[in-house]
Amino acid sequence: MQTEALVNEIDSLSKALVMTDVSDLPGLGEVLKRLEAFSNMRCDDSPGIVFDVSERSAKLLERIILEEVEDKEASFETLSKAVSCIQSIVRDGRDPSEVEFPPELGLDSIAQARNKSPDGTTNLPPGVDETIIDEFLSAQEVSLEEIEGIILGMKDMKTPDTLAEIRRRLHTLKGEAGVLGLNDIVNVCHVTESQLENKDSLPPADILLAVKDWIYQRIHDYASGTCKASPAGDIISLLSRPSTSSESTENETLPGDEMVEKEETIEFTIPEGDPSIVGDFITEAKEHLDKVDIALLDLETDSGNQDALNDIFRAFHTMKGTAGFLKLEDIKELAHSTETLLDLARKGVIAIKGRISDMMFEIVDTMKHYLDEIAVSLSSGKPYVRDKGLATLLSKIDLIEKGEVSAEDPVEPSDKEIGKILVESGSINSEDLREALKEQKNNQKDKKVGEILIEKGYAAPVEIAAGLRKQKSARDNQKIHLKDTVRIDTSRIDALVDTIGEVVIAESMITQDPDVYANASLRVQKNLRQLTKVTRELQEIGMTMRMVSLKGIFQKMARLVRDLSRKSNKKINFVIQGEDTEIDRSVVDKIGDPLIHLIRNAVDHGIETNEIERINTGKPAYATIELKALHKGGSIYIEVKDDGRGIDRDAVLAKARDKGLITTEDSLSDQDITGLIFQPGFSTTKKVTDISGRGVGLDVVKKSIETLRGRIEVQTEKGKGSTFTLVLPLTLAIIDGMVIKVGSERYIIPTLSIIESISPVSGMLSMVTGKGELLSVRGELIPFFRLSRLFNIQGAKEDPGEAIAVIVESGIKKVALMVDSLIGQQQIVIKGLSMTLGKTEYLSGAAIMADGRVGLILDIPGLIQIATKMNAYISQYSEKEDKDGAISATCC
Amino acid sequence: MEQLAQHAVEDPSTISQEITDKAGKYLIFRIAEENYGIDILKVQEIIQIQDITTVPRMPDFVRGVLNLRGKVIPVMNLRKRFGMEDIPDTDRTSIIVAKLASSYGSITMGIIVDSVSEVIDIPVNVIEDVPDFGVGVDTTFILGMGKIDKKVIILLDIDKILTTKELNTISETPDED
Repeated sequence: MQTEALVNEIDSLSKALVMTDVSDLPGLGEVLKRLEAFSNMRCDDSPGIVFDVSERSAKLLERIILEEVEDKEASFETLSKAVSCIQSIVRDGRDPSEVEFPPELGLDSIAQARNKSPDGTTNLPPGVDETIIDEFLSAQEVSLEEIEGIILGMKDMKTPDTLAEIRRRLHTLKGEAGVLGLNDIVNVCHVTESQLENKDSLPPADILLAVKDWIYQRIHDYASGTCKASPAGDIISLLSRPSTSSESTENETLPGDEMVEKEETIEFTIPEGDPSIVGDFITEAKEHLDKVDIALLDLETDSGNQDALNDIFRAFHTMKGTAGFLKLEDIKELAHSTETLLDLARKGVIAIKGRISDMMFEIVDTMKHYLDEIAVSLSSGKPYVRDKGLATLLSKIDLIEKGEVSAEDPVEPSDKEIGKILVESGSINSEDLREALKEQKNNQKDKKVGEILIEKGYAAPVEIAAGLRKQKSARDNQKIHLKDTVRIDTSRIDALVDTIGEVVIAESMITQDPDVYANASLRVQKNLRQLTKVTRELQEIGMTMRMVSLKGIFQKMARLVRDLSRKSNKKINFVIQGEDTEIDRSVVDKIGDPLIHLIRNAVDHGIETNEIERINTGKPAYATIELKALHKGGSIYIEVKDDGRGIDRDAVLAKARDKGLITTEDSLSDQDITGLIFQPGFSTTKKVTDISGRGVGLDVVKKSIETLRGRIEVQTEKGKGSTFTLVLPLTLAIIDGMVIKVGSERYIIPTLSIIESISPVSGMLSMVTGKGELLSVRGELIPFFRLSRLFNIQGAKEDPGEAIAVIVESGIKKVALMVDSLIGQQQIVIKGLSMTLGKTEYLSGAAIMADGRVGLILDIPGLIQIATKMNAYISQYSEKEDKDGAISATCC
Repeated sequence: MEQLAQHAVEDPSTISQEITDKAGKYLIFRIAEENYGIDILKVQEIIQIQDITTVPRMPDFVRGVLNLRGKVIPVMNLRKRFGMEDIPDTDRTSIIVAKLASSYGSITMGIIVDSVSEVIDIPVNVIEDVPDFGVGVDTTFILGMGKIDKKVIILLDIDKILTTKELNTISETPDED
């Protein structure tokens, strides 16, 4: 019913428009009124674009009335075109993407952002299942990261391998986005792809990165419904800006390329007849092509898929028929050639894979391009110009049909060529290879490079065979790698890991049960040991399931350094090491921000402002930032190292005194001083940052690392540079814990927090009024807390001399916790504490102990906080409590 | 949308819905000679009393946490929650594992009761509203009173029996010792 009202409104609007001319001011006023009324009817029944157009039209009309436009007639023409466009969408129900809006309206940005709704959010195209989108989004995120990696790793833009790789990935992305109807992404991918294809207009890496960023942002927009990405038009215009390098290099990637450079422009008018039939054909053909895209992707993974092949064949056959009937020659010819090609594939003569598959994608794109062109000429009435590129494409198809291009041609640029392998292994030199390749191209197209090499006596057959084997194994590896990955819902993996944890606990409950062991026969004992072994293996496998490599995040950092160094004009050499190190997925998710912080600090403050400063201090002009990951003793170490200015200790110290963070004459170790930069107070003070070159947001870094149960270390030397090391647990699900006993209760202290455990002897303890008890360890005074009092546990040891003091640290704070005894160190599977318990900041979780009971894991920073709070509380009432003697009996 | 809203207003059964909602099957348990009932749909299982780890600095009605087949769930002592004297556990002491709705989503929690007796169907006509006990008596977690065979059963709204807000305020106050 809304649509009906819209149709009525637009009809009367167009009538009003027809009845007036530019000089008829009252008439124009009427049209303006109607346009505004129409714009106000904005609703979901019609695509948002029509309302955007009407709004723009209203503005244009306003300017016509106010005589602000140069050519009133032309503007009026634009206006009536716009209205008829709206009419065709609203009344005839045509898809906005098929309607050509007059470009004068400045609709480019709107047209590109068709999926953006007016309130700054992004809506998914209608009819798309959200789960499919989700899957697409998560898959593409990975793919985009890889693209970025390739771009960053690309030293020479003209390497055909890398270019082909990027193109392939973009193509897949385009195909999938097309299926989902994410048109703006498709457009951007398409433009980028064609830019990459043309060697003359290779976009610089910066622009490619911008494109990657844009797609990434857009995908996120789709996922979260936000609208942060700039309009697609911006990025496309960025891409189409002419590139500086215009020199075309020698082209030997595709045999077909050298064949055709014939200029051929044939004017071709859309045949008479009902244009709506052509319109229908375009819509239909596009649907076919979308299906072909999907089928091609299927073939990519399984080149023997007959169903997919038949689908493609049928699609082209149908298109050929209709195109022939409508006299759309380009499409007919192309479809015909393709059909012949596909027929060969059906007969098993050729396989749609490798290069032929690329060719198929190219055909599909060309088809789509033709359809678009025809649509344009349909709506504008301009003659359709036959594409001169068609001949090139047709001749390429022809080559394949003649069997002169094989999908597995060893000179295929995307795979490692046999020639290269041989050169690398030293069997032949590059001179010989070039000659052999030339020979192959000129005279013996059906021969493989290897054969020619043998024929010419450049290499022995054995060497060639070895090379081929190498090549094959490399390809096989690739295949296996592709087949091996399975996308699994992370919650399922979590559930599996949890269950494995249960198995481990259940196993230890049985094997460690004294009843079982005492009565067990040798056979049972043997079986139990086997069970233990298998369980351990299971546990290890379970842990690795959650592990992902640091590659992705390291690549992000590479990108960051690249961008930052451009911005700050500093020459930086970024070195990555150990990016294959694996770490728990949840940890990877959370170390991104801290790493960004550290890297930014290193670039902004660590590295000297200019080269001269560096050269004067005897350093190379290029600064080096190293990002290194390594395993060490069950933890992952991630190092961010720069060779810049380093931290000025004196400045830090002075500032800390100034801020009252330390008492004036405290003797502080180097470690304490560097610890100061992590204090929250330091982060906000610009002055300190200037002097020390450090301190922005480091407290945030520290906090987030601590929530990961990790810690951060700093090594720095003034003038030489600094190294920040993040020490992270391999996994968040398991920690090393020390089980301690207080009264009848057991608790777990994370081993990472423990510095040492000592048995206090007489004289080590002293009581300070208002500050509680202090333990003196080798001259250092450490606050001493009795866990039994903090937790109100009955029956714990009262005499510190008989107890154990566990010295733990959190940040630069150290405290000693008095416990009855240490039971032992264990691997602990962490379970969350239920939210129902409210704020338990002194507990970080729970664990199921070997006896099946629950053990509680102490959270050291939280514990220190409540202990300090309680001390203040006690000191407030210390006089009152003095008489029970518990507090003042401090010395032992 | 508009149509839907209209429909909702026109629906005459909305008001009486609340009362009929209370009717249904209840799990009956006893605390200090009194019968209480909770909606059987909220009950996940009933387990024997077992080893419970005390969580320090918790209000006294939180007995601690226990291991329910690998899950750590909190356990509440209903006697303490109702301000009654605690008694030593007996053979009949049970833990009702219930799923509560809370602002954090569904929470599984154990509730210690003196004994569990039966599951009975309580029809609408025997449910009465909570009598007004006057100021100072908290009746928010009581749904109503069911009268069956001259027995009075206090029907509990298990979702309201323990609000997280309440717990937070409790654990934030410093210990008295």
